[in-house]
Amino acid sequence: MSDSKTIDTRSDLLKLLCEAAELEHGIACSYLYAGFSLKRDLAEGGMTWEQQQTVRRWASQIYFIASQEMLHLALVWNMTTAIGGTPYYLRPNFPQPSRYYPLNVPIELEPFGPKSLRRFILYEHPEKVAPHRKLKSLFALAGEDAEKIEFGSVGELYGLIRSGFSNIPEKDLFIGSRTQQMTSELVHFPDLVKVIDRASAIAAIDEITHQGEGIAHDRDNSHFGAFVAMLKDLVHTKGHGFSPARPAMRNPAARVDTSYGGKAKAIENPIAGEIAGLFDSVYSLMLRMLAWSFEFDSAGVEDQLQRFCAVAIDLMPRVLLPLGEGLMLMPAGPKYPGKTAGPGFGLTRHVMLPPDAKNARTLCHERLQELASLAAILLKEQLPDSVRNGCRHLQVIANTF
Amino acid sequence: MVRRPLSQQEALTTFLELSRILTGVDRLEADLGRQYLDRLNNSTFASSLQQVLEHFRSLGKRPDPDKVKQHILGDDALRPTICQIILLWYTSGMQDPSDPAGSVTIHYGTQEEYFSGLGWRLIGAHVPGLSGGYFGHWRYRPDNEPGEAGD
Amino acid sequence: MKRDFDVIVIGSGVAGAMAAYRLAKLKAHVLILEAGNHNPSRAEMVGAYATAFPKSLHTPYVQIESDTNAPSPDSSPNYYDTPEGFVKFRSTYERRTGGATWHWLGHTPRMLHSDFKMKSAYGGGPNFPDGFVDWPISYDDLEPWYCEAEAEMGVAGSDAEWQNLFNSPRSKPFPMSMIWPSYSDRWIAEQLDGKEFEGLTYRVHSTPSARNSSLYDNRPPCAGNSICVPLCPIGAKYDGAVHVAKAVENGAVLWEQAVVTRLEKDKDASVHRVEFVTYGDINRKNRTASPVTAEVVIIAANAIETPKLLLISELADKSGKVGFYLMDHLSKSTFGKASEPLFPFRGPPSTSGIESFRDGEFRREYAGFRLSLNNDGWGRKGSPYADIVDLVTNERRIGTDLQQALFDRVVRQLRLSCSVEVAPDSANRVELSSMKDALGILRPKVTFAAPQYSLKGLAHATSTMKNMFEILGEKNPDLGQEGAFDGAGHIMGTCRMGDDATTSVVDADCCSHDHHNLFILGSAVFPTCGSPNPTLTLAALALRGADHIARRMGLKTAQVVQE
Repeated sequence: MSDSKTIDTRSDLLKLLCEAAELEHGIACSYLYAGFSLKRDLAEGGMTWEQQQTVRRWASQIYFIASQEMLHLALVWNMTTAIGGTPYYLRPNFPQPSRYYPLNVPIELEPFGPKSLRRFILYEHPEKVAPHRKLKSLFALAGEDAEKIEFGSVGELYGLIRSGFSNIPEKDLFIGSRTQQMTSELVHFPDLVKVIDRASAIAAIDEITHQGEGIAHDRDNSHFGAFVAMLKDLVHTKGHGFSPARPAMRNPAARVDTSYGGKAKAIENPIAGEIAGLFDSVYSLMLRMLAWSFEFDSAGVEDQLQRFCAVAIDLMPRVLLPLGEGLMLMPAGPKYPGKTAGPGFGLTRHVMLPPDAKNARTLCHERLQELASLAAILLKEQLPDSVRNGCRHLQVIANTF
Repeated sequence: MVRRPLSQQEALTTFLELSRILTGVDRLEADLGRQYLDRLNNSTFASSLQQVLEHFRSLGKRPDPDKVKQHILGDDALRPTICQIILLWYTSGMQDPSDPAGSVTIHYGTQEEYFSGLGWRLIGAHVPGLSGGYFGHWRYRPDNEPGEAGD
Repeated sequence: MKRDFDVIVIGSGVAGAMAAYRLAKLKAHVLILEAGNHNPSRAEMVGAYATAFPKSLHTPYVQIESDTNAPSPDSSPNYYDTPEGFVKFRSTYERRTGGATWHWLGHTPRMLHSDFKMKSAYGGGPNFPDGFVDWPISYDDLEPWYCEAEAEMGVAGSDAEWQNLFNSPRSKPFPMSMIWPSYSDRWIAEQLDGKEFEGLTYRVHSTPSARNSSLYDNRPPCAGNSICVPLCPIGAKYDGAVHVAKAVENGAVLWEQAVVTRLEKDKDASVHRVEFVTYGDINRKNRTASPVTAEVVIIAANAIETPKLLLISELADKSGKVGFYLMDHLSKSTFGKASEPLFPFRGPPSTSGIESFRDGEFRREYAGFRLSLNNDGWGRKGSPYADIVDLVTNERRIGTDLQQALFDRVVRQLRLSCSVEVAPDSANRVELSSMKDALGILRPKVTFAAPQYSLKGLAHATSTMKNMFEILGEKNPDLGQEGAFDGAGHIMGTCRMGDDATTSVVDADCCSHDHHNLFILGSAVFPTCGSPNPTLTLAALALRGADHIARRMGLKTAQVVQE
């Protein structure tokens, strides 16, 4: 990250946008992991029917916030392509070291609980506001560290990006083609806007910070406010034996791959490891398909773009969600007594999709078929229902692509 | 031959085994099963239920669903009880025995039972009143859409 | 003369609550009198709903004390007195804190430009009902208040789709982007959009709703609990209790279990005295005994309780029109199966509709209507319970065979519904019964028969739905009985607004023609009703009315605009 407080070159601005992309992406995965961990059925135990209502409400809110992070990522990609860059979809694998970003809070994969909520609150903490006394006492009440509250907020990063867009002359900066901009027709976010000039870039940044940390007199309806309310709720949800989350591992890694960061732990149970590997493969493919759609000019290939986006987006609720949730019902292995597995969102060495539309389609089709065949083999095992559903839906999607 | 009545535990085990076959769902909660068994035993279906359970036991261990269909479901006198068992697991409700044909009046038990209904996921939905998921999930095909039978 | 309060608001539904909030925020000393009560918590209401059968509108709200002493047609099926020869009026309401929006669906389309000017736009012909009049205000007059109401409630909608429907432009974007259309809506749109029927073109639009699509006003976004009617378990759907809470936060006083029995007028015809009775266990601290007085009195007790109170008090009725021109949209559901799976029972019960048939020259002859695409399958016909019983009992299916059959049966189920404009007819009215309720208060006698103009509209709506089903793959839909309809829950029209004091009850500012300090807020003041759900319009009128009252009372006059 640039040391200078003024951002006045395209290259510096692009670097910051890459950082923002990594951040939004990493945070979204962290939220999703917590969302996957929240129990669904009373049969899982640890909840009365009233608590189940609360838990499912938390889950839907976390997923909603995660979806807004994905919207933020899409806006960052639009900002990137607007100034001539390429959408950046890579990110460090989990756990991400805490000093990587201006954010002094580690980005991890961890089940829902006071620890993860504390992290989430700090990710979204408003830039110019000192941690409130009430927030400190809430952390203390939750049994978490109430003193060492450090955050270099995401807001700070966007402040720098904003300054870049303001400083660099507009007509020199916006060299991307307008037809390259992604719209809500393709990626289903009604609030996704095209970035074509300084005003729309600033509007996009304002939308991101408004949703994340809120504005001075409305923190409550931001992600920050929602997480604070959730933590309060958790602290006050009384009940002997209330256990809203599945005992998923922290920072799991799919068994098959060894190219992860040092602190990730490999899932020991072989079937769970295979499913986690399948998750990673589908996730990686989905990212590539979306990034390809953002990267290339739609002129002439609108149909293909539609198709790619539709399939990529369909993979999320129909394959990744059930696989992710279901992994947390599978044992992690004897090395992790009492723990269940989880998706590592592992990004590994992979094949980039080529610019040529026909070739890109061929590669995707082949890869989907490969993954569907793997799913067919895995379906022969004893699996939770949601994992079975995810595998089956993958087969359907592959066969209709 | 005078059969000795089933012990409570035997009745529950038998009831759960039968319920698995009737519902097509392998994982059934024992506590829930006990509650549903109690409700049936406290209803006008009590004696019919006893017959159903004894009949089922007489078919041997892990009988074929077709045997169950033939010997128990095929019996007009026992079929209403079978229907009640399935309704309980799928919706937590029992049908009012005095319902005229074509009408369905339901009696529910506890809220826990209501929110444990299994039938809704079979149609790709969720128990009404419980969140179906994240905002906008209804835009897509269900994440719990069941596959083809026999998968 | 010192009054107990600056303003008394009778009724804590949307209209009363919004007005109370706006006036309290401007430092008026406001009292809200509510006949009913509230339930302890949403969880408790969800629990009551879960184990209730049938799951009717009142199931989450059952409370013996208020059901007995402040009965409503929701709590007491025989509350209305129905005259000989007529069918019981089909629409109901709650008497509880926050009002009937507790169990509304949440749809908030606006009325159209022509709806306000029916007589000038379409009048003159032989089949055009006499009861139609022009409102004394236009769509353009009300438009800024529509925007205010949308901000107050939190309305989610699509700016692109709704910018200028039928000459009814929007000056502000929706507060939130739309509630996502369902999978079912999108498939239906693919089949229908662009096709024509009776000279009009099908176009599926997402329905604007007071249902959060993001975090708004400290309430979560919709999470698809699917039981909006009768209750939102998480508060994503707006209900009047939101503004009751805001009013109280801003200093308004709320007295529940306080049933207004009579208003008294002074010699100069102003109305300052409100008499009421209480029941049950209430905290008498800080409450005064009846009567209570105020500078201004607002009745916002819905279109049945409001005229009932006025008739009992013998007030506001020099025109002789109090209680007349009762309207309620004719509602009809039709059922069929689509040729493709639609996956009902997910999301809100309805997320999209077809607006194409709401306006046009045909309104000279018959009523316009709104169509809704519904996400609740054949739930109203007992699905999936009835399907399970049938498959087991008659088709003798069990196990995975049963599962597959149940899936196949249910996933293509579709309900289409219409909401038909009702022409104002003076024969449709609310009067006083001779029968009394548990507190000795006269009950309402409700006379309603669907006007021919609207029955013709209903027939067109039915054939439109038949045509839609055919395109969607169903050749024999269940269209119900010809001419039969349900109540829509949209009770309107009994204290109509107008410039002429001899033919209307209130003026363009919702002030009684006969009593300068008596206001009526709510859908009772609608002279005509168009085809949209009335709540947004009544909220807009309530905010506009509160603004007028504030200026009249010399309170700070700046519009309270949400930033």
